Amino acid sequence: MYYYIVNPAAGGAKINKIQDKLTERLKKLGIMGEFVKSTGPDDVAKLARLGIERGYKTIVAVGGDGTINEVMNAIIDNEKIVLGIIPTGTTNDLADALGINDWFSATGILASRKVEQIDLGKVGNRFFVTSVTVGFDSKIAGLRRLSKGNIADRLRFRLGIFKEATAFKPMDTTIKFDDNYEVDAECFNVIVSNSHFFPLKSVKTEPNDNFLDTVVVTKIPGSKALKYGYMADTATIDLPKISVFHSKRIAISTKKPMSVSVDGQVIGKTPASIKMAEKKLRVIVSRSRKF
Amino acid sequence: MFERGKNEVARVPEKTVGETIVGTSVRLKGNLKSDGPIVIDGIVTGEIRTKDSVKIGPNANIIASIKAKNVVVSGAVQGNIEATQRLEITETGKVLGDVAAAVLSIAAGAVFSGKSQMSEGHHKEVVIEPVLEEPEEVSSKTEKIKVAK
Repeated sequence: MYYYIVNPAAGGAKINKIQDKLTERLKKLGIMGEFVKSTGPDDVAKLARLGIERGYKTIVAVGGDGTINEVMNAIIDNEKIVLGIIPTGTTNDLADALGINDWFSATGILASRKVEQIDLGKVGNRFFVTSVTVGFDSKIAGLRRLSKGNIADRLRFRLGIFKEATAFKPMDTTIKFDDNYEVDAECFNVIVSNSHFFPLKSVKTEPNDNFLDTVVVTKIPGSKALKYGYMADTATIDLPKISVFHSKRIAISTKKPMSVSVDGQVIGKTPASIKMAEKKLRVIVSRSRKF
Repeated sequence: MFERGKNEVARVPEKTVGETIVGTSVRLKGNLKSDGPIVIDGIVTGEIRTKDSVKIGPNANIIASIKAKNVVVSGAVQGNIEATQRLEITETGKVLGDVAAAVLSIAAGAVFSGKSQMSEGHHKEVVIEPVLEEPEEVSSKTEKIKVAK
């Protein structure tokens, strides 16, 4: 039996539009289970632990990257638990990387139950699946959810991006890799990822290669920052002036404290220490996953 | 990696998994080690090691020793270079240090100051393009000098 944790706010309350069709589909596939709805960010973790206490072996996160991250951090200590995903969020980078493109195909993937172990990263005490970002992406993390909202939300999104892109000052950044070498640069964005890079389509990674991949984007003109900010979730953009490094440990420090976001959610400020985690995540993936 | 024009999207070349790139305006200090290819357009001080290739861009400035399978230098390198297969110094390349390679190629306009050593291998070949302008009646083809075993 499956335990479905629903984030009702994800993707501009997308679950409200698909709920009936979703439950009908799950019944048809024979994977109906218990549905619970979270009431806030901290609630997702509590519900996940409750599901484990009740004996469920498959916990399904119904939401975006933030929801998946919350569920994953709650279940990671229990090696027998498998994570399932039904993507309904504003950003669904992990689902996309695992070949889970939309809620409908996600149900078929859950039913076919192909389970893979994937690498995890750790920043402080928090595990992450997709990425840690410092810089412009962290600045606009809270705005992204507005891009899928109503007209007023989308206008707020565009105005917010414009304001941030025109005001953003590159950060004096020092990044240490594996105690081997150190990089200094004026950075627009730093992305540490173990999955498909977003939004740089020409840079690919392997979630299971046991390395973290760091993309450093140095100072870019305001017009490019604006374009970067406006792009859609799954769109990508080629940028000049990028650097790419591969390592197991990264230490990021900035001259002034900057926001750090993990799987799309701001969790604190620099300095940040990031490393490959020893634990791996068991997750149901598509047979046609793109790595 | 380089902005080419107002209306052109600046395209980053397709990257293979594991490629390390030190972009322009990035300063790296320390021991840069990798199993994959390394491309440098910034400033590196220390050591560069890979089992694959190293490509030094025209704007790069390196104060480091380099050890790789193939090395292409189009920027400035102050340090020794060891290439187990091929070392190429292009017309914009400048190497101040000793080099060792199975194949050494130095283009017209390149600057090289140091000792060179040809390592053992199937090919012992040095390709040096003429530095001075050829007189009109002489062919301007690249001259290949085969080193006898």
